[in-house]
Amino acid sequence: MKRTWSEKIRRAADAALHNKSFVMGLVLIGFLLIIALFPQLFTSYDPTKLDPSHKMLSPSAEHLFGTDNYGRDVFARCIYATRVDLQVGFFSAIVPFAFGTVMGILAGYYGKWVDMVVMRFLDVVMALPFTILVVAIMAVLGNGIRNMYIAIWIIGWVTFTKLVRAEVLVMKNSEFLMALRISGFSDMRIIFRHILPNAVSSAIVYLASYIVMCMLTCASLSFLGLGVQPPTPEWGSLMNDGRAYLAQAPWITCFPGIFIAVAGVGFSLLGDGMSDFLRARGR
Amino acid sequence: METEALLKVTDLHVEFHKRKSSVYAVNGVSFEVYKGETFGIVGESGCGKSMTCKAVLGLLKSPGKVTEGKILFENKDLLAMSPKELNRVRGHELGMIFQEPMTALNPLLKIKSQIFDALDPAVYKTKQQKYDRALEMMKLVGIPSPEVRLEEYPHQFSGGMRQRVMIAIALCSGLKMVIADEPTTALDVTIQDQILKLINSLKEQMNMSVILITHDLGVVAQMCDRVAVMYAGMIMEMTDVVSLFYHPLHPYTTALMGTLPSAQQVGRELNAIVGIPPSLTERIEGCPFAPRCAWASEICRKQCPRLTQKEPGHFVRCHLDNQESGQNGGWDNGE
Amino acid sequence: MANEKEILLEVKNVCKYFPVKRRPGKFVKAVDDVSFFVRKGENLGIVGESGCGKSTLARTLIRLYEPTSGTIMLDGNDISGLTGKKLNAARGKMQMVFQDPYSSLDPRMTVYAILKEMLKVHKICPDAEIPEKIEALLSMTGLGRESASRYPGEFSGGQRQRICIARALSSHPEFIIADEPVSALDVSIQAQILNLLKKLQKELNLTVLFISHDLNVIRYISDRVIVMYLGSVVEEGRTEDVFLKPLHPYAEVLTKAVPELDPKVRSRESAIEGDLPSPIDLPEGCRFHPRCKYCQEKCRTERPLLAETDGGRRVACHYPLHYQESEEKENE
Repeated sequence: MKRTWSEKIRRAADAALHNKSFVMGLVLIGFLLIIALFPQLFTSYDPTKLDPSHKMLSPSAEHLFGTDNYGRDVFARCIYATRVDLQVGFFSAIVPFAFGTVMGILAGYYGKWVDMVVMRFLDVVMALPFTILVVAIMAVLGNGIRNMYIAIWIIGWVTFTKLVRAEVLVMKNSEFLMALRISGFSDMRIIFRHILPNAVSSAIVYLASYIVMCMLTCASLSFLGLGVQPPTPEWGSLMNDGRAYLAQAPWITCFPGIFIAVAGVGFSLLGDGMSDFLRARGR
Repeated sequence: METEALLKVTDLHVEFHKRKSSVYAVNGVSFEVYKGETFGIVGESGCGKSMTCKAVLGLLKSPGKVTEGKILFENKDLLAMSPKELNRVRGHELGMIFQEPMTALNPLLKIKSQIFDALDPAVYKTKQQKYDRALEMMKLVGIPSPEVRLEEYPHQFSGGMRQRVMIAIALCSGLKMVIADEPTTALDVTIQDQILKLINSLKEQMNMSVILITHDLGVVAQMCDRVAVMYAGMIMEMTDVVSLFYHPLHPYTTALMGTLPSAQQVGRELNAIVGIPPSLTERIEGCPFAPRCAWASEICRKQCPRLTQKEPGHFVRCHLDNQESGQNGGWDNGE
Repeated sequence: MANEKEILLEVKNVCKYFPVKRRPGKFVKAVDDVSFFVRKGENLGIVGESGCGKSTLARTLIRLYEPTSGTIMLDGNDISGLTGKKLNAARGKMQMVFQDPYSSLDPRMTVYAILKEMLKVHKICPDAEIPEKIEALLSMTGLGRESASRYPGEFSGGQRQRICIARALSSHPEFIIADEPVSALDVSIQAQILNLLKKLQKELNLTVLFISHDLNVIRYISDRVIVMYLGSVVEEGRTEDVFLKPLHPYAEVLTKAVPELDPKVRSRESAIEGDLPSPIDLPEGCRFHPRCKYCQEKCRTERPLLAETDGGRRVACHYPLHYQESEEKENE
């Protein structure tokens, strides 16, 4: 009678695998994940080793993406940057996602002053461009990847809150929630067992594109010299490195750019696909 | 009642084909509506009653399509018309009243301008003529203080008043026929009563034909001259309203009447129809009602019966003899 | 006979006012000073048009809304002031079935999980007996065993309403509020659900408050009926009495407005003129007087109170219909 876990997973996987954009996104991100976990499998070069005798070589069999102005292998630097960038994307997105979702549920479910405070904060944050706000906060906190995380965390959660709050508000006046309340369930049970799973799907979908946004923000900050500090390879800072030599050695800038694009497309497809089957399930 | 058919629908099929699924919404519906009569189409949700009328008005939404059949309105083929010609017929000869009057009215426009827009510019040329006609229509549909109400917006009207406005808009061009799709389903009983009586009196005053789509057999009994009972996209029984209630021949009709709670049923169990209506995602073999029918036999499951005239003017789609179903399920009117 | 039965629910002077947005100090009196009682094992119908306050009343009784004033006594205990755990415990004793079976179930839980949660929260039976209990609930509501592992989205409207009923019954309630439980269903399915409710009420000795706008349904299922108009009770009595000899003009209008199921009995006059007044600015005196065809001077100024007449009927009218007639009969 009971539906077993394995069966549930099988059904979910079945739905997911029938979704083309989800599968394509999964393949792209999976590939990047493998690169991030085992960079040594893909290149034998050390990404930080300087080699003044091989400066600014164009792509060849030996150096697939060529070398930069210090003679470092661009391919190796892109490969090793993958881990840093995925980490940045993940860590800067996951905290706002979790916190924002909880706040959205609280604001939507309890309303009153919780809602007031959250919404006013949201108004302020939404009024200014994301990157500019991050830069402003980092101007106070100082440079470095840790401060970048903090800056993104401080302002990132409001969008998730807005999304989840809207879903909860729709649910709040539905017979669904009334049925739960008259069932004699505690608030905690209603919030975590029933509201959360139903309200979180749009936040999950947004999470995918938010990761991309965080990675791009990180890239632009690094490009400005605010984020990841050299010599750690990071796609944004790699592009920045090549900027001065764009005419002579375009490969230094282009190839990291391609990696950013691939990651961006991968997460977007993933999010797109998830929005399809997360909504479709159960209904 | 004149015997001339104003609308003649022959063997109408409406299908929806999407990439993965198809819906066969209307499967060979034929009927005629005469001048000055109220023709009822009754059935449960999903039986194709609304689709039939949308097809007649050319309002099917993609991917819905008329795949077969003919629709003749005053001997003009509606399906062969250009969109422009169809628009002209729709606005000035064939009108529609919707279920939800709020969504059918433009919330940003005054009632006055919405009635003006519906008037035939060839007949009502000046503003004064239009205003006079609008005022006349508002009075006709029984809206109190019409001069004031004309200047108001839809949200200032109650549900019943909005439906009156809708009727005023639909009828202001002097229609020959109006199709009312569940016109009172969203309204309370007392307001429903008012609107139904209004439709009846307007019909007589303007000598129109009315097609009334409803799921409510009570509304049918009060309003219609002739009735078609639809199920799974087909007409199961079609006859005059008195025969339908006093002498129904199709098992579905009798079963449907048995399910209605009423004074006579108090203390008894209702004769619920077992099961649920078939999904129309594939073509049904045999009689679509067979799985729920108490008298279904081998042939019912294999072959779909034709709509045949069993008594003068009384069409039934059933393999059974009249006697069998009539006796067993006959509607006792509690007299 | 019925009078001797114990009273399960007693509602005294319950009011529920909602403040009107942008008009401070103004209130919508959705439920205004309503008092009634429900006897054990009885089916009490509440009938009225939209905006009469019947759904607000139901939600106030089950404490989805806080009553503005008044007391709600369930089985001798006042539940109008309960909060937190005590309220949740009381809710096990009263349950509700909603109008829209499509939106009142969690789409992400199987039927099994939905029922199991109720059984566990209300500690109905030891964990080991849960599968057995669920099977019993399913068969009681006419669902097959195989439905347990399916999601609400896989069922039709009628079957979903059966799931809702199974869930409502799972906490062993004594009292069920059914708020328009068949209004969203087709007639052929509606009959199945009505039969089921009637059967369950008898078998489990349930007390039911049945809310509907459909007079035929109320007439079929309820023992007694309350007619509401603009937030107050205008008439109360045994269903057959109210339907055959309504005392309040509004009750008469309601019974006349239902389309007769007989094409040979047609009326040309509408049963009532006019629209519902705005709930914010209620008329002075009797609230029904602007639409009442028997309206007299007194009705315009003085509000009639709900007063008991003969035979346990109550009516809020200065000049009840059929009243003198029945008095005369008594005198004979």
